[in-house]
Amino acid sequence: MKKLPWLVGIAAVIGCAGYVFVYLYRWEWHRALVMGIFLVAAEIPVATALVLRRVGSASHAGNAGHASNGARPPGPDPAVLARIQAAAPRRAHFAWLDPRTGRTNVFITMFVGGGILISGLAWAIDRLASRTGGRRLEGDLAGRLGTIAFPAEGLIADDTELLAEEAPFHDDPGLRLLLGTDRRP
Amino acid sequence: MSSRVATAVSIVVVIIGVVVLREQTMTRHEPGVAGTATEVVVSATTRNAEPTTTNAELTAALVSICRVEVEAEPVSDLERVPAEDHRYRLVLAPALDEFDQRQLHGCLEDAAISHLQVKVVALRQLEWPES
Repeated sequence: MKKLPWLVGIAAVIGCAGYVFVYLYRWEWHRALVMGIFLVAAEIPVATALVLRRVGSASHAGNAGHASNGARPPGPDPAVLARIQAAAPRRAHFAWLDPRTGRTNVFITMFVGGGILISGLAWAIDRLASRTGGRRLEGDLAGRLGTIAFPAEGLIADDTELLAEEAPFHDDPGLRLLLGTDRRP
Repeated sequence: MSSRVATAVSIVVVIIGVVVLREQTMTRHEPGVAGTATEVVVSATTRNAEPTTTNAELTAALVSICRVEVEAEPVSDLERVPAEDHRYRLVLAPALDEFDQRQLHGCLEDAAISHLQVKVVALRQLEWPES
């Protein structure tokens, strides 16, 4: 029963490949193209299943080898690990900063690092500006709005001011401005 | 030893397969013979086609596409076969060789135009005196 998917998949691959050639022989290009697509679609699961089976069998063989050698649990052999560590290539961190290389092959590193630094700097500037610039701007705005603000005492003249209009010698410029006596002939 | 035999047999089979495939698929055209023609009769059926298009229009479009793929000129219009429903006839001169016949046959029966399916009913040579 487990072989049935394999049989179906292989039959599909063979059938599709055969019909690709049949349609090419008959000069039926559209059908050949469609059958080629089907062939690729049938190949993908079969190839994937083959790879997975091979990986599974290799893993199974490795576990079986450990079991047959004794009671050693699967894990790195210290001697092998020591040899690998001894043979590891020496890593030169920040080698791209070494001027002796004479090459400019570190652009990605520089871009990424520079981007992080610039982003941090921009964040700090934004925080500082939001804490300091806002109050100054609000103060300036309030000052500019003061020139067009309504007078604190209101626009409607009371009886005293109306009576004061009768006295042209009154020297209150605000009152004259409010009552419009400056513009009157 | 058995693996070597299997390898040798596989190589021979592959070589024979390539030769057979080449013989079957490689086109070798022959010059047309004057005074001959090829009559093509097709049966056309449409399904879910646009209401403004007719069976004859779709068939004429397909024939005009496939006709330019062969080395022959039509010497008659695409005409409806008398007393036959959805059957059309075209005569091309000079007569098509084997590969042109196969190419025309495949082009006509391939799904080149949506909603139209054409079946080649007859593809035969005729005597066609040159005028």
